[in-house]
Amino acid sequence: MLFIQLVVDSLVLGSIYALMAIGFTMIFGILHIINLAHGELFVLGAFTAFFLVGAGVNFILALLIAMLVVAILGLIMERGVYRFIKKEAVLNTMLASIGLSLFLQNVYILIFGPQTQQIYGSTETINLLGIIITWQRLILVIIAVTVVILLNLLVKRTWFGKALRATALDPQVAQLMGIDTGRIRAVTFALGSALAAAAGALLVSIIPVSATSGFIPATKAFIITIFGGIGSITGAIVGALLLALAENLAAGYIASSYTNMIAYAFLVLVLLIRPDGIFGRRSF
Amino acid sequence: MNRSAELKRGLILGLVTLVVLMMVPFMVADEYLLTVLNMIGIYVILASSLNLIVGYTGQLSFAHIAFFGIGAYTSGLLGTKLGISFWLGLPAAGAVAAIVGFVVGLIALRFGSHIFVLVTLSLGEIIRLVFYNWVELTGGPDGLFGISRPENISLLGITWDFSTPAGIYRLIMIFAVISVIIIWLIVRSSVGRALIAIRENETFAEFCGINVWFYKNLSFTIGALFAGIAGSVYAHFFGYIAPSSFNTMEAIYLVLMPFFGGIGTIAGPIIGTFLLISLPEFLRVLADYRMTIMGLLLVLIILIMPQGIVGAIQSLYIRLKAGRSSRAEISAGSIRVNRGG
Repeated sequence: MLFIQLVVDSLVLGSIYALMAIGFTMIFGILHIINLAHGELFVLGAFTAFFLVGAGVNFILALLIAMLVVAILGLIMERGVYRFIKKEAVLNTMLASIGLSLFLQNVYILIFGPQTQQIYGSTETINLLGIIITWQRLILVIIAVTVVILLNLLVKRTWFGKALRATALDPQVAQLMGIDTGRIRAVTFALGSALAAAAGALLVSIIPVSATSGFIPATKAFIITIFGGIGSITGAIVGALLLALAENLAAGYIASSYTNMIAYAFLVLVLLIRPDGIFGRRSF
Repeated sequence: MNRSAELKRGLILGLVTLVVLMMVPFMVADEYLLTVLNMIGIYVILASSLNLIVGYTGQLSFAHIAFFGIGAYTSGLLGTKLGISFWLGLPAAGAVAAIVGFVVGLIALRFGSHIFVLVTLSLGEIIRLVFYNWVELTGGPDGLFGISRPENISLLGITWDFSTPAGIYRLIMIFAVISVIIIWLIVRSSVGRALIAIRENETFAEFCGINVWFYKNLSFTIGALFAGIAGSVYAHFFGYIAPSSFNTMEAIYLVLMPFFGGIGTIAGPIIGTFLLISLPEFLRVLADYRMTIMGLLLVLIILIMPQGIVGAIQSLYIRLKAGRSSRAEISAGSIRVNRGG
């Protein structure tokens, strides 16, 4: 029974990881940016949702506003910083993202203070054949799945999605076909940021988030991205669920202080067996 | 300038620096200032050895802080649990760090570029989590207390007392200067040339008959050895170590040091370390804002001078020397580079 309970918990954590990782992998796949400040986008999403809900705004509306606010921050980051760094200099971009991460983290501390915040919703639970899950967590999974489905429709069915996939495949040819790749890059960054915000808003409704709690989720998004294959949305979802499962099993059967260790060991093992990740490269 | 003259000049410069550093305690009595200088000394060993891996071999490793931790814990544990002297703990720390570094290198160096970054970050974090979780041995999150200062030694009739601020300061400076000189000697040897060849073009280096696998692992292991030694000195200077000194944030801060000053140069990591440790101390007046300023500064440095401070000075010097006519050529060239992609 413990096992099934852990699997259900993994589904909740995994759907948050998936939202984080999809944003990360899209930005990595299309802009070639390893955005270690992704976690700070996530934290801003969490804080925006927290304060809006505190002000009496409906949670879904708060989530959407948080996504919009963070998308704007992402746009500023891309237009203001990343655009000016040469695309080939992956490591320089990464160092710049560390600088941004440090900067934003401390700005958050100045604005919001160092304390943790959490949205306390109903603790009403439902019992499905002995598996206990709160309504809140169930709704969380439903929201995450909805966001992923909408994103999939956007990428697969719209003109924008086509342009996005073309840019990922070959930016120069895409440009020759009349696609404004600069704009596609900016919009992709904003979209990825909005997904991070959604993850943050959902997480803050189940566990406390502080100004500095963005870094570990960002490294995990990085791990999942490499695991699932750079630019692969399916890979990110599968990777996120597996990572959450591995962590929860470790916490359930060994000790919770081992969860992060499991995440890192998981990555190294997978890479030793499949250096390109489970879904290869850029399979949008 | 021929090579032997260069060697002589380098060694003299090292010796003069050492003598000047030895004089500092006569002029500075402030213990706080000496502590800041000690931190700079220890981190110069770390940043310079990391530069061997990052700057000369072209592999951005985030595991370096973990080797520093291995050194600190090895020598700290030998001292506190078995009562072994610092002078034996120091080589042991270097050896254990080098062995662990070799194993980490074996795993991580199979991967290139960003995957290497992530694998070193992960392995480094796994090592830290071992310190954190192995409570019976390491004291877990509380850390390890009561590590003694290095035992006094008598040399040429003079007794060195390392319990005084000036004594430990001089010891750390000797370690720092010697480490930098050794790294400089490695870099200018045939090993160094092989490393630079690998950094510039791995495939071509292999084509030229350089054993890429061997030299990458060698540079990684030597780097870890120095980090272990720095760790041992750190543990016996502070007398207390905890896993939080070796976490990812610290790993990042360490990587920034050579980048700040300019990677692939000897002076770069030293300048970077000096600035990144002393700036936050000077910015202490601004207390709450100092990390915000550091973050912003980092972004600006990467935007304005991606080659670091030393690189920026070098290119400025080349521009001034090249004069007006070729300046147009250089800027035309840079425009072409920027537009690629």
